[in-house]
Amino acid sequence: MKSRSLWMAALLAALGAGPIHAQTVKVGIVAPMTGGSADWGVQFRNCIQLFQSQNGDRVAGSKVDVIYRDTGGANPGLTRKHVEELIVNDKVNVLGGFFFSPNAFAASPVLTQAKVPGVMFVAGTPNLTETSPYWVRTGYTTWQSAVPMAQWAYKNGIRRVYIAVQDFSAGHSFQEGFKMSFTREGGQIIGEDRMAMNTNDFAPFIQRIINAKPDAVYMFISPGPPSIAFLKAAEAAGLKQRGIKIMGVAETDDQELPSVGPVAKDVYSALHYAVSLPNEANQALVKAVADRFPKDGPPHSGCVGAYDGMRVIYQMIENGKGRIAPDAVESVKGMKWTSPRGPAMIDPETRDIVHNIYIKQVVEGPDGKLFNRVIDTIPNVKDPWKESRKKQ
Amino acid sequence: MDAATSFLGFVVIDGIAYGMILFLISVGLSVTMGLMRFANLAHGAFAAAGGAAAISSMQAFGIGFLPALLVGFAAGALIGLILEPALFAPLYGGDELDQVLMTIGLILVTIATLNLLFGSAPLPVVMPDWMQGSIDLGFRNVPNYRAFLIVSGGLLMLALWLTLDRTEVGARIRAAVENPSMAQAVGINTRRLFALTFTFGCGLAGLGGAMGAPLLPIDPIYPFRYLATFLVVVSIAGFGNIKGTAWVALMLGILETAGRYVVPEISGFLIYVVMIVLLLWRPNGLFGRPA
Repeated sequence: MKSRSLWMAALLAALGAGPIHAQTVKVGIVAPMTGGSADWGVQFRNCIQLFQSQNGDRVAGSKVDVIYRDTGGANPGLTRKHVEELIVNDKVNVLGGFFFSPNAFAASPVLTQAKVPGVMFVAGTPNLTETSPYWVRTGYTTWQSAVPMAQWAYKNGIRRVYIAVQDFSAGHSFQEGFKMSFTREGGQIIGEDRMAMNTNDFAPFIQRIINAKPDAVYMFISPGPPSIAFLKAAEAAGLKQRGIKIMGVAETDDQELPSVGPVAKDVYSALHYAVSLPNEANQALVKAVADRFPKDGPPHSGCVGAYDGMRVIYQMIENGKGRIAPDAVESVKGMKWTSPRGPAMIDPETRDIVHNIYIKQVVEGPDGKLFNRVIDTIPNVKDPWKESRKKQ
Repeated sequence: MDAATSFLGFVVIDGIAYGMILFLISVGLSVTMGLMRFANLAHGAFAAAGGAAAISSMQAFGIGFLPALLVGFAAGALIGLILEPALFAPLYGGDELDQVLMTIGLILVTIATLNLLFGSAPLPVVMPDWMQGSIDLGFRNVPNYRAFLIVSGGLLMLALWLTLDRTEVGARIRAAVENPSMAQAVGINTRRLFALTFTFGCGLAGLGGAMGAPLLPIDPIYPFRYLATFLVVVSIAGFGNIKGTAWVALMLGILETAGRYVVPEISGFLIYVVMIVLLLWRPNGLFGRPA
């Protein structure tokens, strides 16, 4: 027995030094696989599996292995530990995932130091990509949603807006993006509330909005119990009957609609993905997800971020002839492809994604079920946050 | 309508409705932690289980909201009845740290179980038609659901107070908690009484979870999300006082509602400031007696 394990060890050592080892590329995915945002980690995993089953698990002769690490919730310390261990112990060549921005911020210095590329599937703080030259973004930035929403609102006759966001960094970012853009268009922000994260009952905030008599309210509330409570309070107080439109980010995304229920009707939002997008790539994705993962709901921005993230990682391996080369990030700058979200490109200047933003409205379908109808498309949106700084 | 009436009408009515929610979701804890002196951080787990049972029975069997509330109570009580002898009874009267560790563990198990059974999305509550509209009071509309909370919360308060303060069972429970060995000496079966009381507290937790579900949606993180809320209510009220819990819940409901309405910037920590000040002033809570 002992001599056999020695043999195995010798064999493994030989293999490790030999060419077979070089033919595996390891991808480390850091994501919430448990806890309140587990749905995002599940969508990442499902859509990575889907991508690999459609495109094979070999690129340029190398096998692509994916390893998952669970961050639970927003946990920068744990994320940093996972990223370090993935790089040092598991020898991953490239990282992916990242749902919470604070987690991604914690990974930045490690990526820079280890010279390992990281692909952000969701985390949306605009300046994240500037914290390490090794970041590439296939999710979206907060301003890519906030600014088109503001422009659409002004174009459609909305002049006075009340902003109500959750009081944390993402909320502030959406607030600033919307305010900057809407006032530049000529609109007026007549009230702004940053609502504490521990708010259970939103009725007081809804009453403040009603008192201010705006044309519309712009909200950002992380989807889940708080966003449902907000929309229910708005419905109970008759916000829409008073002619106040509700605009948001992802509170009424298609996967949220069963939980939110009828109060989601007529809520507007701006994002880079909708299940109802008619393009061929999306129709194929929606069908494949429904066939393979019927219990996990329709694909959402998390799925598309992961699916496209894998495409970018595959391209890096392709460009490096079977490995993640030192210039992997450089090699995908300007990369263009047809995504389920529509035409997509990695911005060669900022390493963000350039994509269409869809203005969506929740309506009742012919089957009586609510869905998001795309009512306007703003093509090829570069991150407006970086654009706005360039102009100054 | 002038601003003062509108302010008062709003803050008082919505504050009381929110206070009733606080009472409904905390009253179970005021039994298991307040009355029985068990550091039961897993209260929200029973509430979430009750809420999930109520909602899924509405979906699966098409029963109405009111019968579903009974299902919520029954589910909380049943789980409590099963877990009490196995997990809770061995720690009665023991070290609080052990109780805290065990109940946090129970929360983690609950989160994983709910995730497995129902997924991570909040469970949708379909409200019956009679609860959708609102009542016109002349100066403002009160949504039916909030009116329902105020009425049913009030009735529950009364029923609990009568049971614990005016019946023999209530007297036995209080005796068993105050002085277990003396209670046993006069022939009270404290073991069975504790099991019964704990089961009842868990049933109340399940009921609160189900009743509050339209406003505080049930998802796997529920036991952690509202943990601070329950604890603040019960700790300000002081141990072993249902009436105190009711008053504190109403007071906090009105205070938080007014705070969010008038000074939203500080509303997030207003409740904690109040708790700190009150507990410094009266470490055993507003209505608690010294231990």
